Amino acid sequence: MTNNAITAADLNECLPALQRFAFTLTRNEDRARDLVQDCLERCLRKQHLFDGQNLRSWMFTVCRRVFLNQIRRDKVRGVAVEMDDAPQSKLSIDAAQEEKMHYQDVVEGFRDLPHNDKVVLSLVAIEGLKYEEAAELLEVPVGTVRSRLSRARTRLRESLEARDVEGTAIAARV
Amino acid sequence: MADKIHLITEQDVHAYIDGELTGDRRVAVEAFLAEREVPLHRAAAYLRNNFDLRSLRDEVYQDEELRSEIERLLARRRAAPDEEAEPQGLARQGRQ
Repeated sequence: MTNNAITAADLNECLPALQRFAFTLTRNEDRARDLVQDCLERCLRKQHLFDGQNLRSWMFTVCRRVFLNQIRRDKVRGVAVEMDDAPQSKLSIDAAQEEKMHYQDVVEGFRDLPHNDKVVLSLVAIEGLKYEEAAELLEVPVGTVRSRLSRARTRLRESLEARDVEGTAIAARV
Repeated sequence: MADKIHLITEQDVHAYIDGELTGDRRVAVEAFLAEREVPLHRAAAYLRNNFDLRSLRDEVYQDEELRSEIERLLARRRAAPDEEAEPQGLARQGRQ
């Protein structure tokens, strides 16, 4: 029972499928992304309930439940969920645009990081190196890898949050 | 050591995201995250950023200085096969 813990790597492996699944449920990239976020949070929080068998199907179950909760909540709040009423072509253009902007924000946020932070984040997040390996290659203590990573991700997050606020202000017309 | 387990730092959360933690330490971080909205929300966002960056690999490596440094570092890793040096990185995944 103790080694059922889900690792970040496990979750990442399931992410593409989860994102497609979320899109299938929501038919909207924006909502799909929120759904995936909620779902990941729930998976992390509820992982003691995972039976260690099939992570993907368990995540799908969680995802479906989260989605149903969202619909129920939206109904209670009186938020319109009839996305069908919106012209589909306009919707998908907006969604694609949104997705593109998100990626653009990540690229730009990353670009603004100090060079050393970019290197560490690339080695760990993109190349999948362990901290020890990254430290060895960079000839720095592991503690330095840890602190650079933590700083890099915090900066990237702050930059994304700032852009999000801007984006929301622009999108307030919706 | 036992009482240190309860001191969860920002860096522990990153280590958790990156699959660096095992055993009690991992359980401690999970328990920590499970009870805290903001750190949990951030942890999930960091996970997604990892995924984003992996999808954006080509764009990220358009930074010539960064790309050449990563290539140089990974080459050094391949050149020193002391441990189980699995082929990884730019060479393996190619650049679509």
